[in-house]
Amino acid sequence: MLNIFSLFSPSGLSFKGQLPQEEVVLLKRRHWFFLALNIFVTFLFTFLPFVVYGLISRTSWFQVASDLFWFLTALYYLILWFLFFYNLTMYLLNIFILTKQRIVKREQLGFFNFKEATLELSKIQDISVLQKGILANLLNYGDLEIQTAGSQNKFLFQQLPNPTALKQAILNQ
Amino acid sequence: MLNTIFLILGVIAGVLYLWFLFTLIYHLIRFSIGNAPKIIALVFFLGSFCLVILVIALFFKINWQNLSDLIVPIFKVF
Repeated sequence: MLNIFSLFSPSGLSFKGQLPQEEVVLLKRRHWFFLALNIFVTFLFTFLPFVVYGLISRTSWFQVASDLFWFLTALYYLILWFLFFYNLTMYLLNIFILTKQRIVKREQLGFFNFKEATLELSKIQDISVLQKGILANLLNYGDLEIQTAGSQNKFLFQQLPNPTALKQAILNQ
Repeated sequence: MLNTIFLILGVIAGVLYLWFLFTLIYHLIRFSIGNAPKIIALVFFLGSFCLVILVIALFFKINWQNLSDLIVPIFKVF
């Protein structure tokens, strides 16, 4: 019998397109700051109905239109809820996976807009770390630029947390 | 006439809601890695279900007669 709750049992770090016997060494997403930024913006927008309520609640017609106002407020929060989870999903699906054999970069740019790049560790020639700006240095995030011997000779991984440690982890493989 | 417009809008909104709900949950469960996204999908589903029930309940609470009494005189000015 299909147990629907098995969805929530720990599934490890397996991913779609994983090769047999391929072991995941580490998995990284963009720095948490970019998720926090999204949460903060959503949090700011939650106050909008309160502001509108403050502006219109004392008008003479509000008593008649209050039901419509509360309906539109609930609809607004439903849309905000969807937008927040949409952004959260995009954050969760943009991943950098380091395995014993290769690096996989999965970029979800929308529901039906998806990019995946793989890079064999044996083809790596050089790895550069780019940390631009005060925030990047303060919060320790940056870009990794990997030079390879293949036809697509440059790979860029953006806004990764602790890029220096990541570079070291790749070189250790 | 108004009932038909509301019915069409309701059906469009319902289809959009279900499509977006399914797509988001599908992406979180099918393509994400680890356990946390699946729990996030559950939270999203429960939250959106509660909110949609609230939206429907509030929609049926609206007194359209009172609203039209308020809006129609405004249109008569123009």
